[in-house]
Amino acid sequence: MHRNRESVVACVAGWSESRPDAACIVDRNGMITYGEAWREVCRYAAGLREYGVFDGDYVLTECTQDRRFLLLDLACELLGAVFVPLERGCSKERRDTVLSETEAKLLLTEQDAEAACRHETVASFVDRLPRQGIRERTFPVGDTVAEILYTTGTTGLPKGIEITHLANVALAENIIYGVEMRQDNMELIPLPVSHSHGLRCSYANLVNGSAVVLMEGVTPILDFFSVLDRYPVTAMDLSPSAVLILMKLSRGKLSEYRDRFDYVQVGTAKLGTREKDYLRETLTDARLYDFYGSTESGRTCVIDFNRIRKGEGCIGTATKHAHILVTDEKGEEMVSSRDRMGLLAFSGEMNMRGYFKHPELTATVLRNGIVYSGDLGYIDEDGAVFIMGRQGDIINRGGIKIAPEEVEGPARGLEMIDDCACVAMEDDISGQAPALFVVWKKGAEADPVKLRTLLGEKLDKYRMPKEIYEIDHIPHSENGKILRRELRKLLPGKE
Amino acid sequence: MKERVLQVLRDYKSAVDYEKETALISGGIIDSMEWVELIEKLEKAFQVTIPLEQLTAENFNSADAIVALMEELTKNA
Repeated sequence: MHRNRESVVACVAGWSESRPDAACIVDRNGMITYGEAWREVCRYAAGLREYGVFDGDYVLTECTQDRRFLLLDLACELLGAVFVPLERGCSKERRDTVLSETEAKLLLTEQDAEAACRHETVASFVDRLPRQGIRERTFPVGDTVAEILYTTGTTGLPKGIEITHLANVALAENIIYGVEMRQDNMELIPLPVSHSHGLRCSYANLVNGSAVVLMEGVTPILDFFSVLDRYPVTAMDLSPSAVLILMKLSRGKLSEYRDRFDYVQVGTAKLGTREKDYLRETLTDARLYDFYGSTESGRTCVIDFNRIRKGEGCIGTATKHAHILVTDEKGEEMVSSRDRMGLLAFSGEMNMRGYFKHPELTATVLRNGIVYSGDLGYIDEDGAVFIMGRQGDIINRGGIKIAPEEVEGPARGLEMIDDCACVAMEDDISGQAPALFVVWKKGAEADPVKLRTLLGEKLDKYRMPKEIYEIDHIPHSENGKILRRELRKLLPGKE
Repeated sequence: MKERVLQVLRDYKSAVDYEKETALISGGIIDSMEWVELIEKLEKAFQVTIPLEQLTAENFNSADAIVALMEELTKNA
């Protein structure tokens, strides 16, 4: 492996010397090798220079979901510029907010756009690339900022998360070691590479000297299978919705490819039980990974759910660079167990540097290099980490702390229940008590009394819902999280 | 047949001019998850299973294309 592993671009340069003919990126236009990719990175860097981009400048780039996007990312790294990805079709309002906050030197978009800085379409930028690439081979220093990833914060406004080069390499290694990635890995990524999940999967393969295959989703489904027929894909990175599409539309064909998959990793949102079972039944021998992490502290835990079944809430064990702590409400480390849960916190090189231009916000989440989450959980005697709920969702029933998932898990296992969600309701005696909203399964008997009896066989008296409410559907966010605040509004006396 | 297809389409997603639109899928008017749901609704309404090789964007880009597909599948059912 190349000796400079302080940045993704340095790793790519290394592979271009030691494995120049190995596949690097595949997209709708075919494949490029590491040798070709490196020459293109140098040309792209020369092109960026012509637009006045230098060390420390910000470059906003709309995702094109092809090699150009990754090459622009690597070219920015090579120049020491800061790459700021924008999702495809990003609204003008969001783009302008990011543009204004970063004071970007250059904006690259898919379509023509008006902007308050120098701007260009990606296609025009590529058309005008100089023949010769830059000749300098100075790689960025690891602890400088490589990119700013914008997510939508709780206020609805975008917030930028600063990620260093070293953090990107650490994130990549969390994945490489987490999935036991082989060097001849070829990973199909049908998820947007402007999003941290898809981007980090790409980095993992580039750091490992492996190949990424970029696609825009898994539909049309025939295109998906045609890519599998054309290239020796050995791994996939899927979202829960991509799994659902494959489950509903592949008509059993995915199982014909089962021998070829080393692993599938799933991310961006929580994978449902049905989708998990589908992958287990279809890709019987493949390793099936669910990663836990956030943009702020990525890829911290991993579990192969085809092999390990530790029960509700288990997110696996810590990845290579992640150290996981359980803390009390003051942030002090504590010894945790199933009966003594605390808040999960993460330290390690993969952590963000902070929220861009928001030191006060950073201080609420990141202290002494540790990212504090609002996830309530514990670590068992084998080192397996469990998440049982979010801090604000915990129900305090007379001092007994109950995670909604402790009630929902057993309820979901009942035949009569299609979906459910548990929230805290006010209670005169114990302060709070669990209230369970249920969606009955079609054709099942809607019988709250029977439900209460069956739940009584699975839950202790503290965790038994005080009230059960019938509802047509459980509200979920775009990434599948239960919108408990919406349900709390439905509680009597809350309208 | 066309009226039934239009009814399924309108019941599923309103405010689209299905008589004129010719890029329902390739133009992103119906996204990938909606496409999956629409396929399920069409299969249920016409009591057919749409084979894998027919799940192309071209077969779903317009009401007329969907009508042609449904006619073919119901004829062979």
